[in-house]
Amino acid sequence: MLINTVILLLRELMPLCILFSFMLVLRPTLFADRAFTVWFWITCLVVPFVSFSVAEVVSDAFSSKGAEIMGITLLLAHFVCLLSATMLSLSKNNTAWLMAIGAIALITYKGSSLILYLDIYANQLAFWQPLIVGIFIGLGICMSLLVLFRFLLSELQGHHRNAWVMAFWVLYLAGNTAEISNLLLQINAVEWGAKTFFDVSAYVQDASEYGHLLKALIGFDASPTVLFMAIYIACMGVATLMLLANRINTNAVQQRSVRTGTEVQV
Amino acid sequence: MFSQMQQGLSQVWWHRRQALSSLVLLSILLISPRSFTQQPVFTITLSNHTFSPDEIVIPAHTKVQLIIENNDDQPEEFDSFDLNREKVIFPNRKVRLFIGPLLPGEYEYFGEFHPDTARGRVIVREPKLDKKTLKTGEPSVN
Repeated sequence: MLINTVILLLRELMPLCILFSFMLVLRPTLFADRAFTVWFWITCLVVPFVSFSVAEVVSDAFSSKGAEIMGITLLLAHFVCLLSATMLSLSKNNTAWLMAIGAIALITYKGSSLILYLDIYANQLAFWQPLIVGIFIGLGICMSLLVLFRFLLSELQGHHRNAWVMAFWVLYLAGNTAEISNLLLQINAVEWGAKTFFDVSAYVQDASEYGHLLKALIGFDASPTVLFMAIYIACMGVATLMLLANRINTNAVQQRSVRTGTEVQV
Repeated sequence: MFSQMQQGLSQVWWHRRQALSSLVLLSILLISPRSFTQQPVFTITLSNHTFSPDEIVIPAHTKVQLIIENNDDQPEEFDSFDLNREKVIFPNRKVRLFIGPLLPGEYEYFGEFHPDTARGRVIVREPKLDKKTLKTGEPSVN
């Protein structure tokens, strides 16, 4: 019970802690506005609980495919919003709101299963002690990871290794978004790509500590399907191209403003 | 200032258009009648937080439909790292999910909310070509 609680917390919360590390490094002033911060945290708490309360109805919808369709929509929303937020650096407000929506989409996707688990055991008094201890241990590990990963990203940024930070960010986004492949195959929405692309489970198992950590960091899968790899590579390609195009565009705007002597907020 | 705003707005519009087209494509994929094509069907029942049967044998290189019935009064999450599947089954509900085509071997699954008791395996075997198979063209798995 205790170990299961810790594992479940690590599986669901680790990717979110890594997301917060990225958000704090990519947008250090994200939580500077008090109104925005309050709105963000309230929404982060409310939306997963709303999703949990309608989970049964959603699951039964579309011939029992509702949960998968909702999962795919949330993962797509998270990818589009977070990538757009990274690109749109011209308007700070737009970026913050887009980033918040992307984060809330991922929190809702990851959080509903965790809330369901906690709800089952919270109703049984005998399980309260291991549940609370498990939550504390799991949260402790996740918070440690958040601090360490944020420190690593800040150091990379401080030493002018911004390209590394962006590379990690692209891998993280692609890893989360590639989970769509499993949802599509699970409901048989696509015929193509169900075969295993490679299998490295003899070296790193998905269920191991390293497996969980790599999964949270870069979306690692020990035996991914062809469709998983296709979506992963497509997301990586789209994100890299868009970020490069945005950088070229930003540099051109900066150079033009230097030539004309006008000030541009970038 | 105006040109910057215009540039920003055009970028936002471009992203919205991209998101909309992705959603349309996704809807077409999901609504397509592929999911109604015939696959071998295997049923697993969950009672007292235990899967029954706890072992199923399925043919290799074939997509298979799993029907999982939850007879308990608590929800359970069917989870498998080996099969890359994860699905919540609410009490007294039946869900269907597709696995494969898989290579011969053993693939473990478990109930994420009761992993000590709810465990099972999918055993994948090469289909045998017996007399019935040669007649009907459908390989049997033993």
